[in-house]
Amino acid sequence: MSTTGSRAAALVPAFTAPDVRVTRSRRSTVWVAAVAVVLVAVLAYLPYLVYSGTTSLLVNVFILMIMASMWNLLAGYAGLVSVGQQGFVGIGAYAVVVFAQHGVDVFVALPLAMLVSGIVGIPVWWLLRRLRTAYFAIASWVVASVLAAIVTSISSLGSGTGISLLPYLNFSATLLGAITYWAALTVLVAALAAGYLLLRGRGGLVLTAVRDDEIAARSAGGRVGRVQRLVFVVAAIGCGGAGALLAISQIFVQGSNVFNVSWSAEMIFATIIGGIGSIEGPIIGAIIYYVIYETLGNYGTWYFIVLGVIAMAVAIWARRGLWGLVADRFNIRIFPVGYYLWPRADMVPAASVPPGPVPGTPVPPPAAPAASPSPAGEELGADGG
Amino acid sequence: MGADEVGGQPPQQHTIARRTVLRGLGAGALATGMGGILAACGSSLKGSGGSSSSGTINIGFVTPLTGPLAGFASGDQFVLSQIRATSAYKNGFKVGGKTYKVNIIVKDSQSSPNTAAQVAGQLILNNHVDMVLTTSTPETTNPVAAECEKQGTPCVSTVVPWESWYAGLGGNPVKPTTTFEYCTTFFFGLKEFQECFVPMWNRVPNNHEVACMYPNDADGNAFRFGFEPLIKASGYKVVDGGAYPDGQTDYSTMISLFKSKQCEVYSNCPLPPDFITFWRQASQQGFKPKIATVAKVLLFPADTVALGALVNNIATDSWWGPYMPYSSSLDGVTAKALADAYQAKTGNQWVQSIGSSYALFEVAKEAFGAVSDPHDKKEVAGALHHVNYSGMNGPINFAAGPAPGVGIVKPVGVQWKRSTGKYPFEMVVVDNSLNPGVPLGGKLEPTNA
Repeated sequence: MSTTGSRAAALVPAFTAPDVRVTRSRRSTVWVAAVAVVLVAVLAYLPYLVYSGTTSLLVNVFILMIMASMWNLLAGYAGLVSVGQQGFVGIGAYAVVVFAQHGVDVFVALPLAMLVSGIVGIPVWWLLRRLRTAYFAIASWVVASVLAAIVTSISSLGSGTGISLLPYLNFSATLLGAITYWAALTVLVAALAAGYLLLRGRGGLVLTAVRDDEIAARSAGGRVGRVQRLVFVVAAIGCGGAGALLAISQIFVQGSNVFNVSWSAEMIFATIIGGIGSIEGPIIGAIIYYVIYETLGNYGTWYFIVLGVIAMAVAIWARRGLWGLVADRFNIRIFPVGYYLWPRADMVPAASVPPGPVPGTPVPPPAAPAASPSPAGEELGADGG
Repeated sequence: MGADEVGGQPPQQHTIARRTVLRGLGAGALATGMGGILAACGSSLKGSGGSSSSGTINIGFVTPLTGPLAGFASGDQFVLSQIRATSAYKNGFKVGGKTYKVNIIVKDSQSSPNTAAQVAGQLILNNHVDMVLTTSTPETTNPVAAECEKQGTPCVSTVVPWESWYAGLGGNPVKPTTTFEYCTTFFFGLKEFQECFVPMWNRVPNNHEVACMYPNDADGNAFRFGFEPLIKASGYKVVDGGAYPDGQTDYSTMISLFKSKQCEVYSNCPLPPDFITFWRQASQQGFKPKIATVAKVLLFPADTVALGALVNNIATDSWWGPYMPYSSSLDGVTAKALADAYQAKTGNQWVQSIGSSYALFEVAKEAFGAVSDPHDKKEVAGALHHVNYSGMNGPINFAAGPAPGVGIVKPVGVQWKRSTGKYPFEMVVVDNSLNPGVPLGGKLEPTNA
């Protein structure tokens, strides 16, 4: 692909130019981060402000955000298009049941279930690691189906009938709803932080390179396999957490529901709509998904038709999703995982090259180019696309 | 990877945002943790904010209007229009000397247990319903009932074998001692299937080998563990085709097993599309049982279209139909008149779920009529467990069922037969052993002669 080529071409003059300073954020980033902190604090306080109808809806939104963020890490960065993440959703949900049956509080069981899901992810990765694209997608689906078949054949877990967590809950409905909400918020924040740190950390540049072209990344010496394994296990943990939250919030765990391939469909939808290859995208996508559901959910078949049309429209006309449109238009990044190159002279970025899956389309420098004639302000790396 | 590794140049001013964001995440986590601590004295939590003093009774109705189970709900919009037109629902319920307006809120489960649970939660928490009614298979009723029991909202289910419903809530149908405070159901169970199907088997001469096609789902497992012992107790031998997953597309192994054991009786409880696949393959591969009694499938005329002539003389159960000698407890309209009205209004052949959905709203009215405060969920739930009345789906007594909160309706044995009227096939009552009050409409004939 031309991505790597053009990116490399952009890199070379930037780094050979002597008077350049590299940072990973801009001043606006700080403000955006501050807003994010306030937002999380307000969200955490929400059970005291609004009725549980709102928070229980938000639990569902958070669960989808977690799942979509995980799928985005896999498909948007690691180049692993999985259609089998429901396998880990199911493992997480049933792990909570098993722990609850052994006397563990469901909210203690939540992190344990995530751990179990991550452990299951290791041998699954070993099975799938040599496959890519459509083969990886189908094989991951097969693995999920096998996991479902195994779990739903265990009679102590209710077989295919499903099993209720009711006997293991000793909370009032209000308290249970509030704690479930906090648990979901915590897992979401942790999932976003994990994704962010993953991309900011050592593997981030490798992941970004893999996102653009896996073979080029390998030939450039990136330790692709290791990073992909890491992402796969992190995604298993995240989806396991989402499944565990699902079990706790719905009380009723049934194999055909938690192992349903529709979870993968929802993750993919939210990610594609919001913007694949950006941390912000899946969040936006999950919100849009639920806005559509809340407004059109009662129109039966029309609801699905609208979902499908939107997905197609975005796939055709907005390849980087709705967040991609916003980020390009206003040049904002909530999670700065790229690099900014600044000319030493005036410390004002003179040009911005937001990378993305439609790379090689140079964005014209923002306003006030007169101040810096040298095209040195560039944003590089994992951000944006 | 740091910038230093890329450019060999240490970043002069290191990552303001990383620290800020980390700090932010820390603050978020702290806030979250604080929330948890505050929960210990969680009295200031807002809760669901139910409006307990309003002059309106809100009733939620969860049904699979779309998706693979939509056949079950095909009559529900019609039932709702009929119910809303009755004087009780139009003018309101008299409860404790006061008249309350009645508002029915309908939610589509989209045939998904996940959506069913979500919409039940919305009904309870956002719409503040006083009762939730739900119908059509464990995939709809069980998540809804679990949510209602969790949130402490009265719930009535139907069109689900009571064992599947009871097990789904965490009870043991073999020793049904657990009482679910808020949840009730009316339908029938495995004993009624036995009393409905076995007399038909007895009347068609056969070798007493029963082919059992039970999937690995709520209903399938209920049949496997509950119905197979009853088959044996009736003097028949069980040939279990194995706990296959829903949606299987190749039944050759199962069919050859049934053929090798020379099964002449066939029993099942699959998802409707799976039965169509199975029955076609069985026909092609020469498995032709003398009497087939199916459960959960061919309950509705739409199912028969896909099979065409292959549906002739397949027997199933019927809990409602125009032949039932029942009438509405709301306005006295008879089962026949209701079925006729449905056909006249929609142009479609009547479906038996009309009767059970209709009865849900009768039961709701009975329960609200027996309390002093319709918004007192405990009181309403208590009243539900003691509803004992006769209406569109016959006599229902929640206090005298096989398990707490379970009311039993008595089905009859029917066969799909070619019709001379407007529709190609129709349900004809061929066995009324279990419910002798229902007149026979035709002769029981072998499925395959």
